[in-house]
This record gives sequence, structure tokens and C-alpha cells, in this order.
Amino acid sequence: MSHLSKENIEDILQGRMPEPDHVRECHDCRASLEEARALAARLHSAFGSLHAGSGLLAGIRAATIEKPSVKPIRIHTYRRWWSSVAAAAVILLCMVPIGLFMKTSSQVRASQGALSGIHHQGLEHPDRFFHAGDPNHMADHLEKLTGQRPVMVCTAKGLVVVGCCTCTFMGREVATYMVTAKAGPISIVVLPESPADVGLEHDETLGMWTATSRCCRLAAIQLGDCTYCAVGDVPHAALAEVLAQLAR
Amino acid sequence: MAENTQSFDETALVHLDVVFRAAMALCGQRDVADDLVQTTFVKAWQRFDTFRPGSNAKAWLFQILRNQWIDQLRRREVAGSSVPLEEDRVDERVQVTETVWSNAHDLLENFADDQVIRALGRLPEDQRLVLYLVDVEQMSHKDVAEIVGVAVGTIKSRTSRARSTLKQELMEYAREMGFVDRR
Repeated sequence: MSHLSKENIEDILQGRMPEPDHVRECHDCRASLEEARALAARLHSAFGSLHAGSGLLAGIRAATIEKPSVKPIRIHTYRRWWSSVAAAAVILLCMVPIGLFMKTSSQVRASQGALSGIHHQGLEHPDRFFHAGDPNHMADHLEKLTGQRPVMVCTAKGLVVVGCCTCTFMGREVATYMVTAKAGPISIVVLPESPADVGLEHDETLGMWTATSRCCRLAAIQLGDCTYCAVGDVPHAALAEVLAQLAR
Repeated sequence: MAENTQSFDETALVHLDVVFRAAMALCGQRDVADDLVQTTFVKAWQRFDTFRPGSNAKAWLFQILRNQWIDQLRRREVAGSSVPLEEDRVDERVQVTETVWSNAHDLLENFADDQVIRALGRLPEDQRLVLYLVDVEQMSHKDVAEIVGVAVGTIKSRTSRARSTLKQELMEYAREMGFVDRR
């Protein structure tokens, strides 16, 4: 038999082809096969050590479980063609806003889930943060990464900035930093969307935008072109207190 | 609703770790992978009514994951590592002149897990997921072909080429770290 082809090696590794006798006699083919086996085994063991963080599960639950999955809509048949056309027109007219609502609702849920996820990831992996004693240095760092200088909180007000980093929000890179307030840790995420786009509703009492998801509370204000969204497992008033500092 | 939620948990969410690992194979960064996995499960939840009970849930999730990843790449305008068809042929004999590691097992044990994962992340887009599914998930070429939407022969060639590229990447590391002589 001639040397093993690469396809032969793949088939042997998959158990779809027995090892031919040639492999025992040919040092090169034996070594190639062993090498492929070793690489596959090492890759397998390397990924075995990876696990999803609990923040991710919380984010998925917040973005999915609270919202019913879409059920197909049954359309009855009608005897007369014109009534079918009329019914179809009515259904179409109704479906457009319903479809838009469902799409929007799903995006809102996903956005809020993603914000909760960002907060939990920060709590679980504080090592991913860049930290500098002076918040201005952290703003410099974020400006270099995103091209936009975020407004930072004033540490003289009893707040500690744990660190900052960029993260992915709905497929885009955004800036975030975490602060420790009296009520607990709070993540500030700087978004290009308006608060309404991420499903926050205006709270007249607090004078800002708020929402509550299963695992976090959210509050936001708009500064310039950006929305500063505070996320944490703390009361809305605590989030509002931190955001109020940014607006000053 | 509660029944639906429980069913989704048992069908899809039980594969969270597996989908997360596949996302890490695709993008190599935990925060990007988290976002990709979350989008994948949101899509899966929205389409859960179309999932046929008893069919391969993992393969279904991998398909959604791959589509979401392609969408993200398109959005970032960094997509486009399609491979010319002629490169998909796997009829070459093993090149006896090609350097083969004589002590592959021992050499590979020198690498940390994250070095191996990073090396996989440097492979061309079309090779990463295929090698992950074949070597880590130990899926058949046929199942991977269905997920990726190409012929079985193409999967074989991509897997083989991916393994060669991974070897080269690891060889570079090995040289940098002094496991093998620099040439």
C-alpha cells in the first residue's frame, strides 16, 4: 500500500477506517497518524478546562425566560376569495405593528440581558479591568480604545472606581467601568443608544430612565450623544445617586 | 410558559458550556464569546417552537451560533476568509519530507491550555469551528458538514488543513518558549 493520504488519516481518527498494516511498517505514516491523534487529544483537553460564567447564564435567563417564545399564528380559510383577501389584508395590517412590537420587545429584552451580563462578568472577572488610581487615567485609557472620552464619577463622593474596560454590547464595543458605592457594586456602561432604545422608561420621581430585569436594576441618563447606564443589584435610588454625579 | 421554560432548559441551556467553548474557539475572547453565546440562546429561544423534539439540539445550537458569528463578522466588516475550492482537495499523500513531531504527546504537554486555545483562534475563520467540532466535540464529518453547510469532503480537507496550521502555530510558540530549537 502507498502512504496514507490526509483523508485516510481523518477517516482513521473518526473510526471510519481501520488502521492499515502499512502503518505498522511505515515510520512516517505512523508518526503522522500519532501526531494528528496527539493534536486532537490536546485540543480536547485544553477546552475541557473552559466553563461559562454564572453571569452569562443569568444574562441569558434575563433575556429569554421572562419572554414567551413566538407561537405561529393560525389563519383560517374562507369560502369566498374576497373574504380571504379582506381577511389577509386585515391580518397584514395587524401583523405589521405586532411584528414590530415583538421584534422590538425581543431586542429590548436582549439589550437588558446583555447589560446584566456585563455587570456580572465584571463581578466575576475583575482581572479584566484596567485600573489606575486616578479616574482621569482610566478615562484616557477608554478614550484610546473607543475614541470617546467617558464622563467618570467623582471619587471624592465616597465612590471607588474598581476599574474599566471595553466590552461587547449587542455586537459593538462599548466602554464600561465599575464603581463601588455604599449600596454595592455598580457598573456604568456607555451606550450610543437612547435609554428608550434599550427599553428603559422615564421615572418622573427620579428624573431618569429606569428598568428592572430579573437579576439587576438599571437606570440611565443621557449626556451628550451617549447614554450612561448604571447596572447593579442595588435599589434604583442608589443607581440614580451615582448617575446624578455624572450629570454635575 | 413554565413548561416551555423547563423544556428550553432541558433541551438547550444544558449545552451552555459546550456552546460557550465553541464560541471561544470562534472568537478567542471571553467577553466576545459571552455576547455571542447570549445572542445565540436568545435566537434559539425565539425559534424554539421550530425545534423538532428528539433531534440533535447541540447541532441546532451550533448552527445558530455559527450564523450569529457570521452576522457579527459582517457587521464588523471583517468577514471573508472563504477558501478557494481547489484548496479543498485532500488527495495529497502524506509529505514524507514534512517535519513530523517525533514526540508529539510530550511536546504538546508543555503548552498551557490557553496557549492551545489561542493558537486555534489564529486559524482562518472557516477552519476554527470545524476543527473544534471534529476534535473537541468529536462529531462526525457528516454532522459537521450539515452544521457548516458544505460537503463531507470539504470538512475532511478543512480539518486536515486546520490541524496542520494549528501545528505550525504551536511550533512557533514552542520555538519562542525554547521547547524546540530555533531555526
